[in-house]
Amino acid sequence: MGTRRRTTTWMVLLAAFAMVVAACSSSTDDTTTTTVAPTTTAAPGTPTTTAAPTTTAAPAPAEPTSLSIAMGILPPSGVPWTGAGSPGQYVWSNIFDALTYVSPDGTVTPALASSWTNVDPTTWDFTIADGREFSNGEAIDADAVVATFAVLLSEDGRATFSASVTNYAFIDSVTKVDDTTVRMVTATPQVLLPNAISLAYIVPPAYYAEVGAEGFATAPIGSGPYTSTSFSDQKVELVAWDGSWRNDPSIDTLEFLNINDPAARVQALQSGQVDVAQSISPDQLDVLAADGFTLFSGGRGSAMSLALIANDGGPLASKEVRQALNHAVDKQTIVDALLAGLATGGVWATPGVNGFSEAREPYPYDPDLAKELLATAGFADGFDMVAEITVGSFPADADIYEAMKGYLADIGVNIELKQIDFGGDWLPKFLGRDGADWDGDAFGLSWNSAPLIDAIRPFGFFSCGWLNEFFCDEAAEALIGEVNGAFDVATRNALLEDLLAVTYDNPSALWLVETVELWAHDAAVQGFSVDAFNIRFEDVTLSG
Amino acid sequence: MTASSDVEQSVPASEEAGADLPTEVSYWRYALRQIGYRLGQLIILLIGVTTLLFFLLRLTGDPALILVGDLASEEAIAQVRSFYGLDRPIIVQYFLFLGQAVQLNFGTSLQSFRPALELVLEHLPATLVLAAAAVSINISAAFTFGVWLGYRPERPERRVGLIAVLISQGIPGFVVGLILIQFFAVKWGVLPSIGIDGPKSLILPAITLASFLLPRVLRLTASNVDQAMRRDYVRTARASGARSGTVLRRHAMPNAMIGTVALIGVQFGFLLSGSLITESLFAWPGIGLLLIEAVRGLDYPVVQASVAVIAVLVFVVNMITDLLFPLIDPRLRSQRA
Repeated sequence: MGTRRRTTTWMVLLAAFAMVVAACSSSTDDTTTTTVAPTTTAAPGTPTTTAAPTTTAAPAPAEPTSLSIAMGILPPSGVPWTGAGSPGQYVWSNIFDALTYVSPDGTVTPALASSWTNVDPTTWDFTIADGREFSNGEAIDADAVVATFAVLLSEDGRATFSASVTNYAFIDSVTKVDDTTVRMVTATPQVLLPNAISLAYIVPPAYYAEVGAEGFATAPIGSGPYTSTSFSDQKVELVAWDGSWRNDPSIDTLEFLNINDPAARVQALQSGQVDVAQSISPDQLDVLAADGFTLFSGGRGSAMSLALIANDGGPLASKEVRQALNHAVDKQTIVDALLAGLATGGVWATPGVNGFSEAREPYPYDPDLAKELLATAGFADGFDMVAEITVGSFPADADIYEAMKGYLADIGVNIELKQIDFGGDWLPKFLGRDGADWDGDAFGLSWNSAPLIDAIRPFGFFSCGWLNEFFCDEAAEALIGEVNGAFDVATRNALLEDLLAVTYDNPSALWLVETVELWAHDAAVQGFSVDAFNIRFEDVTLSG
Repeated sequence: MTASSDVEQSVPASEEAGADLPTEVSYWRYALRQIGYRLGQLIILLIGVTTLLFFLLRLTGDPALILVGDLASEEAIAQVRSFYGLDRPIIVQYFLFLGQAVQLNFGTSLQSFRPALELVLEHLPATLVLAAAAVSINISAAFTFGVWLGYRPERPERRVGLIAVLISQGIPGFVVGLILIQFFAVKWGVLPSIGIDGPKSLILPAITLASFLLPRVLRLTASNVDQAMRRDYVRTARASGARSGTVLRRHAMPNAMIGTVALIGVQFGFLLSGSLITESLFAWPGIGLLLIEAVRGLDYPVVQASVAVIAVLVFVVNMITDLLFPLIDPRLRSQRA
């Protein structure tokens, strides 16, 4: 009888496990359904923030179309001011609009603002386009713009949304002139103000005041061609909204999925569970190409370099040595071998950035010239150096640094690569926080130029006044000041060209490659492009 | 365990049902005492874990710098630090944190602006489902395949099976996951491999997570069954004319399974660490995936809340395991009574 009771005990235990599974399964289903935002969408023109859930007024297409996108990470919330690049912009740029938009050729174009004028070097007037509204029916007018900037530029906003606000923290005030005009006053002359505010997404003021950042995080509302029906850190679901001033989307539903593992993202694409995959590992490109998937690179104005510390004396203080290092590395071979040729190599500015010029080619790969330059500088036998780098942020970055190391060894420059942590080491050293300083002669330096998309972006780092200054060229410094003070576009671009030429002659870094994000999608997806962290899904179609 | 005690346990225990009655009563007293004692331990554990984590996280970097980015001005950094209280002395920050944590307030996520504990509890069911399924697979496999391997292990097919189990112990769990996805999702397209979308989506992640522990469970079960089958009480049962199946089911298995339950209980924490990888691989919306992203973004409140919840979970499972032993093994009941 005792053994029978023990057998019964085991059966009870197994049954209990089965019940736990069953109970938890149902609770998970519940969780999934409750993540759907209750009333995030509204019929156009509805004056309240809690309108009917109807998303389109137009007749529904015969067969709804949907697109699934596998992302390496999703934006942490629907509040669109917590990041300036990937992954936030990919999602937010379809729900929200700012006053301006930086177009693929690097010029600033109207978005919610139809025009703007520079009243004086520190005063700008923006005219809001007529007849536009948020998807909950609130009007987009001067009040909405002023209210949004009041949130962003408040003391709390500057801290909470610093990732976005840091790009336009110089704005002193935003005031309403009339219903369709707002005035922005900056602390100092800022010629790139219209670029800088292209990330300051405008939100419906009544709704935001009602739900706050916490409510907005899971149920965001904007004026873009899609509205959110579900926003969590695992999945974001958007549905088309035809009341937007932008093009009518042809795809009804977008689903962004958080698939953290790169191999799993590729497998999700191969198995047809998703249509598009972000952040493809370079070693997977051949397989995907062979399977018929379309490969492309996204990102604009992003670059990877090895910043050379010239201020501490030693070999790197010599302009010839820094030129030699640039000539010693075959960047095109690196791009072809490690990035499947889907990037450009070895020059700043990169294509698509204001200031890029086809005429300014990367330093040609010429190891003999590199050796000559080293000899001229008095380092014919080469030298040893240490570089502090972070890896894992960009495709093949560890391999790119190793390839660079190999090329430099060929001219007698032996470089020791010391991997450091980004948050704990790199950032404090870069910003010179609490006395932190570099332990080596060089360090890995990568950046994206969003939202400015302008060649001036990294010159803050390479200037004499940087927080932890490592390079100072007086000629370049004077030009940086002139570029930043020029309000006439033609004059400014000419000065920018001069600055880039000076930098080419006296390099502050070993320019490596344009950093790109590698994407792949099903052949049926048409018109998909990634432009400076914007994916305009209203331009994407599905064939077949 | 001595041979004589085995005999006492397996055969006569069933004949001494009346003698169990006072023990039944004392079991619940024992269980309540254990729970009270363990809750005291839990408080010490939670203080220890959260304290260690609090200071370790501060060593990984300044979240203000991460939040502001590389264009940060001194003023912007100061604003962020002041807003989040990061400009206060670390010991003050610690006691403020502790004061809030005892009220189950781990603060608000720096990234998503939602209460950290709420966010973690939202992800908890998914992890529990996955872990429960993985434990069920392990127990089921132990009852069937593990017992089969341990019963007459000298047979050639079982030797091959044991060698296969031994080899599989060297295959990392994430490799198992990738292989499963490749065949069942990519090649054959019969099972989904991302997210939660019905019961089918549980199959591949559950098998993957189970594989982290399965080889050890199978080996231990097989070994315990083999040993149990050599005990005197089994010989006695056989001599008394019991059929092989009956001997295995009624005498050998209950003894062999004590070790298996102990292993699964003790290794539950290890299983949860496997869920970090599994959830990442299958986009499974559990605590593991949340924790990875929180660490990446230096989202302190979410990391602290996640680890506290995981610590409680592991502790509770271990306590349940401890409380199960006397139910399974009457000797422990009488000893503890």
